[in-house]
Amino acid sequence: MAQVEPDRVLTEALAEIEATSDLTSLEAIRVRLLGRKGEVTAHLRAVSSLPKDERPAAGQAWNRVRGGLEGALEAREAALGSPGADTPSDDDFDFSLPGRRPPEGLPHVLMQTLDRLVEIFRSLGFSVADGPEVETTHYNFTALNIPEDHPTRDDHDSFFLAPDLLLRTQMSPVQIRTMEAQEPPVRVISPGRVYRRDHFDASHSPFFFQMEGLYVDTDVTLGDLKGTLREFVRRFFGKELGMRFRGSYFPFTEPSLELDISCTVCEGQGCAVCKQTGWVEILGCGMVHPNVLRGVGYDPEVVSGYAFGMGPDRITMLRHRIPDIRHLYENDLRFLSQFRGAS
Amino acid sequence: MRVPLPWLESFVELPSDGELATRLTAAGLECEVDAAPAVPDGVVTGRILSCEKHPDADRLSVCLVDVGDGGEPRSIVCGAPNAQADRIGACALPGTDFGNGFVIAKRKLRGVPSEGMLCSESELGLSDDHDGILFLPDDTPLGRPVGEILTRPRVLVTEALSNRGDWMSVRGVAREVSAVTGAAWKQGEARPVEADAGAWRVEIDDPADCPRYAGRVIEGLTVGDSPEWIAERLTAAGVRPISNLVDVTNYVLLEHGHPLHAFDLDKLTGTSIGVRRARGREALTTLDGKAHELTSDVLLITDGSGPVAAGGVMGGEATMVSEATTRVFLEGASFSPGRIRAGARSLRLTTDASARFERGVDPEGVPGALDRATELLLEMCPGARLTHAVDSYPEPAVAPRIALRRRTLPRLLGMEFSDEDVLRIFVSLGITLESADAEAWTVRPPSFRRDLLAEEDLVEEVARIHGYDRIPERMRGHTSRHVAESPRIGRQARSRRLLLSLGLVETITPSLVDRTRENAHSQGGEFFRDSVPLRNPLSQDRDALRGSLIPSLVQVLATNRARATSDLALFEVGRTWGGNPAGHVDERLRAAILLSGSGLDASGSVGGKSCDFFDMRGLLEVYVEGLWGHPLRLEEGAPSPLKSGRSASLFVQDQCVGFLGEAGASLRTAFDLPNELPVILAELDLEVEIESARSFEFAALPRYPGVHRDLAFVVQKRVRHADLASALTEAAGPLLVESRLFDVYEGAPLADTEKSLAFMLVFRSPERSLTHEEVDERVDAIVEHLKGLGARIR
Ligand SMILES: [Zn+2]
Repeated sequence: MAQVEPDRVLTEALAEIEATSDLTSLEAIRVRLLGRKGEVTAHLRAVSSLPKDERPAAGQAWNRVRGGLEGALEAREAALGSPGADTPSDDDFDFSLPGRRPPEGLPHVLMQTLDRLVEIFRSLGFSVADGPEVETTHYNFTALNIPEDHPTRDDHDSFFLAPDLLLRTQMSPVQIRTMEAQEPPVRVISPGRVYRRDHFDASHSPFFFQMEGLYVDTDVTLGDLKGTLREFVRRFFGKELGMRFRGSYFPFTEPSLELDISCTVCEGQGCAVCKQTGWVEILGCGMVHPNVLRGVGYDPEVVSGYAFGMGPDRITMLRHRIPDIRHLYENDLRFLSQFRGAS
Repeated sequence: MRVPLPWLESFVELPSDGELATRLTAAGLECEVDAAPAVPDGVVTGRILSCEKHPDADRLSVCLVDVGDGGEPRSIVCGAPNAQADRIGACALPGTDFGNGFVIAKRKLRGVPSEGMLCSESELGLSDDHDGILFLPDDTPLGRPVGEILTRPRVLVTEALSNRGDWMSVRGVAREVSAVTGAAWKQGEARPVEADAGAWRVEIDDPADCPRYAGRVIEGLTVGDSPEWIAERLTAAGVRPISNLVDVTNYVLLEHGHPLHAFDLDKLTGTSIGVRRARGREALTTLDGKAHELTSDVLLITDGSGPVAAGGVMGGEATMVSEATTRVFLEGASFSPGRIRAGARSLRLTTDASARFERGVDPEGVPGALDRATELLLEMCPGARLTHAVDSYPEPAVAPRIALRRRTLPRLLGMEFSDEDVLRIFVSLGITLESADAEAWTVRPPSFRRDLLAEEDLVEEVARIHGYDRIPERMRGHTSRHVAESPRIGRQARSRRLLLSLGLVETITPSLVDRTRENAHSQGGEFFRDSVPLRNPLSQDRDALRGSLIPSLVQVLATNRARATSDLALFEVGRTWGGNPAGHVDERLRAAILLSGSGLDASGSVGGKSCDFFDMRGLLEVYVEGLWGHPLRLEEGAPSPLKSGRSASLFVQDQCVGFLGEAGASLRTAFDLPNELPVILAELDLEVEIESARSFEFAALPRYPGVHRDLAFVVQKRVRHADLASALTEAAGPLLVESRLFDVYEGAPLADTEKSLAFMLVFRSPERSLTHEEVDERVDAIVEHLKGLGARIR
């Protein structure tokens, strides 16, 4: 009973307050309930005479009533317009005025793609590895099974700092460094900036990003590579997409493959983005070449592994239909702010 | 490469166009069928009866054309330079629809009526040739639809992988078709024609440069046009027919992938051919008319008089065939890819021949290619005969013997293959089985598969021909043993998170910079380092690796200022370099921040205030504490390119981690920034390891209330806040638990040299409630002590 009564008092009083149309009757209600001899005040005083174990609950209940009434009286008073105060009516409140936005961080659109790639592969059990952008020819070529006289080694395609020092042309050197530093199993991704000796144009840049992945363990097969990449495509694009593995050639993997996905723009029907083929190439991959494993001291008779590499620049351009790679490195705010919240 | 389908089909049965392209592409030979767009209806043959200059336009001519419809000749205005009377051209009649909204109509061009259009090959979609009207043979009947006369074969456009030089020929593609479809090979090899060497000799200096060199001497030739079927195939493949002699070498190049070269025998001296490197100051004029001084990288073909060709790259002008040629020495060879690459680079020449040799040409295929060329020449020139054949092949290639262990296939591919499957794949690829047992298959690859050397190469072949799409998918293992990531990765991720949460815009800027420009700002400093030069830059504006992120960010400001806004709050986390390529290159991860204009206040609020040093300082305090867990400390002074007097060094514990300050004069000048635009910069080195990690152990919360007092002091402007604050803390004693500056005031009624600093102070004891008297006592002590700095209470 003691718990019910305060609520009833509050409910009735609130209805009464809402119904008042002038400040005088509102003041009368205040005095009747909250004045020195008011009803609620009396209940609050009476709490101290209750049995000890009932006091806290009763005290809380009546305090809640008082708080509620005070708030309601104040609000009603404001609504009725206290004498002399210039209170705007609700009708004058203009919610359509702009809000005061706090400064908001804006991740670069390319990093949004990279962050997403990293997040997906982390959730698939990969760690992140990194290495220097200035690499030795050993890590960039030799350890990757690229023979001494291979054309990709010459200074036509890569930026050199010294005869055996260059700007890495791929993220694969990080795979070598990682394998050298630990025993199998190894499961890493390595995102980072790479360099090719190209002039800037709509689809080329002397620097761009790459993300490679590597998994070496006992019993890793081409089937695992295919299954993992399918899961990646599912997570990245948020749905099942047509996938096509094609034969290819990279010196550091064998078999070497390329993965096409069905064009997300035209859904495989053929459009300018996929050059009417319905397919878009998104990554290269393969089984790690035994020479590469041997080179880092792994036994290719015992372990096997897969590797893959993709271009976040290209994927970003595909996702957002950005026609020119130069936008990515120019940092025009009008460009960057288009992708707020894209992730 | 363009492979005309009829040519391909002469070797192997083809599936449908779609299946052909799909299956070859899946096997690694990327390709598509280029179906010729049909010539539109309404384009017919017409004889140009007369051709005169347009009275009012220099570039136009007016032709009268008979389109064989029995009516009056039509007047057609034409812009083609080759318009000429008495030729038969392709004429689009009014009403012809070219499909892109372009419909031929009767109209007047500069006052002269035109009832149609004389078309070029490009207008008809036949080729890129838009030089002039497409003419047809003079005996072509008039009024015939051109589409019926010109049936262009469908062409497979292929892109061979860099290790598959054997795919760069019609036969090579046909072999692959046969491998992936299982279709049988239709055609045999050319019949070898027997002849002896006679007096002919070939001397190969170094078989490593040239494993095989062979020649055929053919006499009694008549130079003329090739038969139509050859001309047609060459045209479809994108090669212009020239004369039977040249066409045959091109034909065999395309069909076999073997570059051949014909020397005019009358211009060769002696009967001895040499193959050696250029030496001394030898020179050669190649058949494109260019004179070359030769380096020892160039492999030469010589006769009795000296160099006659740059082997594998281009023949010499002096011995080239001409219309008068009646006998030739036809060369077929296999040169080393590396030698040809070096030679072509030294000559600055890339030719069809050099491109093929660079990918590797099968020495075993040389005689077959020469036989085919001989066969074709003898067929075309009835009087011709082979008189001599010579072949030097000092060290015949031996195909490697490779074992493919049965267990390797499931171990790498994740599926079992039956013996039948594997053997069928071997056969389809021309791989010879030497033996098979319970352990392994032992095989020898065909000579044209120079890429097959080891077991893994065979694994790839099996998987590729079986079909990658047919290998079942699996996802092994979801967890891996923990591997510690480099602290740099964590610091980079944390920095980005913090700086983004502080409201900054992330940029990614070029790490290659203009060395001269960059070094003008760094001036060889220790932190803002000189850039590190590249040995082979592509252009002067990107000839070095940046030493600092600051100029990159200022460049972003300059770019945006030119376009829309100077109100920026940017950061970049990226790498910078210092040191010397000859010694040690020091690569460091850094973070840089730029505030300009209204800085962080730029997010749309009207009349945002200008950013200043203290916006950056506050931002850095939050960032540094978040990153290293220790408070930021500033010390006076910072190096170029920051403005002296308006900059400071950043310290965490006792380590300098970077700098902050206003943009200095060199940056403002270089990027054309006005002095009134506030530009505040900071750069931090993220590789710094802070030794003493802060402990984040719980401390008991205060049990007694604090007493709060506000105090404002008037001091001379030169008195620093830091000095006043530390004096205040010192005088207050341990009961002062918090002291915060909340206002700085200058102006009336204070003197010009004065400022007022107002502090909010909180006193508290961990043991009891403080009395007001106790606190007043501390305040009096503070006021008294600060008199030493000339401070008075306001
Ligand atoms: Zn598409």
